[in-house]
Amino acid sequence: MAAGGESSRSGRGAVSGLLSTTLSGLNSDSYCEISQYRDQHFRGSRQLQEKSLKVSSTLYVGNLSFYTTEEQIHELFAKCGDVKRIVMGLDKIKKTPCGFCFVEYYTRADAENAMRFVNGTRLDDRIIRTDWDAGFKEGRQYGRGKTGGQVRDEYRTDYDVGRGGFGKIVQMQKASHQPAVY
Amino acid sequence: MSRRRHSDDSDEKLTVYTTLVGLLNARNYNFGGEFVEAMIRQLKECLKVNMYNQAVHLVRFLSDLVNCHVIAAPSMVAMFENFVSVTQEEDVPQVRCDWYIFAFLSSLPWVGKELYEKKDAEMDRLLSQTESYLNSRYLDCLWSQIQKLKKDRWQERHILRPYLAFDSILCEALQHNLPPFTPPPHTEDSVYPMPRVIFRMFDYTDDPEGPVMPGSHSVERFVIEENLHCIIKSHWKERKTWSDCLTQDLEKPKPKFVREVLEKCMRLSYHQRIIDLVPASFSVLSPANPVCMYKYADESNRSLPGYTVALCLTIAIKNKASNDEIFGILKDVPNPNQEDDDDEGFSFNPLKIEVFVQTLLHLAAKSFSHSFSALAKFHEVFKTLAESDEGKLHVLRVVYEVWKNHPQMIAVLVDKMIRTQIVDCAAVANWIFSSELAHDFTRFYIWEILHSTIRKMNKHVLKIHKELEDTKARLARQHKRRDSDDDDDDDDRSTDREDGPLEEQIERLQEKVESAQSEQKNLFLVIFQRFIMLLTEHLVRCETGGIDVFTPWYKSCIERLQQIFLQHHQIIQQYMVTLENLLFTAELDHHILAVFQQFCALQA
Repeated sequence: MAAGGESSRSGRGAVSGLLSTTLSGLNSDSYCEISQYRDQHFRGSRQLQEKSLKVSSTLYVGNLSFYTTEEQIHELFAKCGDVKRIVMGLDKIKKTPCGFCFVEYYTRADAENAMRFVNGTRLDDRIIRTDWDAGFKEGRQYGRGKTGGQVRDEYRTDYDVGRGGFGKIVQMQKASHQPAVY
Repeated sequence: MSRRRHSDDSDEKLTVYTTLVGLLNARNYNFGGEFVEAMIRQLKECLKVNMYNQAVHLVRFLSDLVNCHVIAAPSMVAMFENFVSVTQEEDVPQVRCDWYIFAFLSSLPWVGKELYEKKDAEMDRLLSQTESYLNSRYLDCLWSQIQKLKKDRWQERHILRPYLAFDSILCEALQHNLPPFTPPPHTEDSVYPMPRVIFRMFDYTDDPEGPVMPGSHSVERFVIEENLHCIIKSHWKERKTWSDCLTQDLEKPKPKFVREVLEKCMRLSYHQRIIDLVPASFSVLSPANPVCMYKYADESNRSLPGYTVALCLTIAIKNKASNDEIFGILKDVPNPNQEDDDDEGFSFNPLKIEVFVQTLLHLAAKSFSHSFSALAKFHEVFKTLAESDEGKLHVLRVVYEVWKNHPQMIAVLVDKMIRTQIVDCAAVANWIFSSELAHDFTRFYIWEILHSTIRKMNKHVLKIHKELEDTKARLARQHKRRDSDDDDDDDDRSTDREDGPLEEQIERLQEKVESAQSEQKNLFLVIFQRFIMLLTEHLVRCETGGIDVFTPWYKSCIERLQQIFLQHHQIIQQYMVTLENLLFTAELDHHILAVFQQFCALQA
């Protein structure tokens, strides 16, 4: 938008511009833009990662309940197109689901629909978040937190019954009845 | 105004925006005039570029502007008169007339009342012209709805009408007349939309006010189903309204609808949740617990043929046996079709298939990923056992036996088996129409699978076609490069050498395309043929028994046949001659032939 907001449009000339602007707005939208997140473990340059994100048909899905199954995820994401595969995120030590997964479609267009229509909606009563992923590689299915799950579950202080209760650090504090050492 | 960005494909927010325009028009007459002119221009452009869905929304928007005192009712009636007179045009496709009638009728829930109050004689004329046009069209349903709406004196209870709250302001506003609007003429390039396949569980008498449901594969359907889930949850208390579906035949639309919705809800959550949610009296409609049914499960089954081999296989697979070791174990399985047995024992052996598939699927039952891994690991065994057509059919039968409680699992397994070429599309079609599946024939998941199978076939043909075109383009570029070279020394031999590989590739791809197209045509022929057999059987039975043809099952099936035509009309158009000469001939029962004839009429 120009500084000072859009200047007022009047007269006939603006109308087909209006039509084509609103219609082209349907083809690319902010829902499909890549986020600020970059995988620190990605093997390759930032440029390569960004390039991969822009053509990828794989999504990272976060804020899942530990109890959400592959079947539920498949049912939801299949609404946007044929799902090629789902890789459940696992606790590195326990090898049990730890609240995230990867959903890979056969085409990017289907993945874009998921970004538009599924991101921010509920699964198992939780608002889930989808984001572009550069592509699944062996090893990326494991949580990177110290205790085996996702990093976010190490530090959070709220009680989340679908994600193992309190965050790991808080749990350890409670167990030892000692204040955290900074 | 970025109206389009805000509105989704339903019209639920339409009346909010028209109210706003109404209030602005009451303040500033010129704004209202310019706005209406801009909308008309937008409508004309949409019609010119064949954007009919947008055009329908614009027509509805304009008609609601009558309710908001922006547009004068008589001028709206005049526009609708021009729409309806499209039916008098000569030499135009029927779908063109259908669309204009549809655009007129589908605006009436919003503005019928107001237009009737101001111009009842003209509206009566329009509706009777419409009626005489509509004698046998897919628009029957909408027509009946509008007739009922008229009978109810246009009382419409679903649409939110915020402008009513501002009546005191709006009634003071000066209104505009729509400029005369002539539908743009039909051209060679005009492409009109096919009637959308709306698979109705109910007919109009069950729900005269509901908006039309979007197609089942679309994302919009998901939004509706979410809402339905909430509605069902909050309306369970209203047992008086829903409890009648408990006493009905379970094949009737109402109980069937409830069962299918509960099954969908279960897929998005889990079985126990549904059991806890559903009141005890409705439990007959609850979905089955999606557990695996392994026939060799315990010792009590040890008399079953193949039981010992199943045990052997179980141990072997758990010990990470290879495909060869599996073949070795299976070698000992006797063939109930003894005379077909050749030296290697790899002809169609249903018992081998049964033992292997049952055991493997049972071991891999934990999740989709486990099952997919199993299919991948033992792909060789699957391919060999399912080499023949009977083999493929039997694999599908066993998959169904094991997973009949878990339709979602059946669907993903069938999908995977097609993609890894363990079974082909025709086998899936034949399996769906087989007697083993007759009991499930009207369940949603069956049609999910069939339409998904057809889509995969279609995508496959497109993919190979694209490969061919891309390779041809490469060859053309190669020629162009050579032609633009200044090289005088090129002789025929080096040209051939350069072109050789690409030309060979093109020839191979050409064959591949033809083969794929032939497979695609065969798939549709199988489907139509099986439909005809199934429906004819029912019709004959009813006629000889003197019972009414129109059972819930029949209604469901004949409409599923219609759905095939409408949902895949572009591909089917290529086969019209074959269909007419081979399958939909004059000897066919008129009930079935009518479906084909209606489809032909849409192509005219």
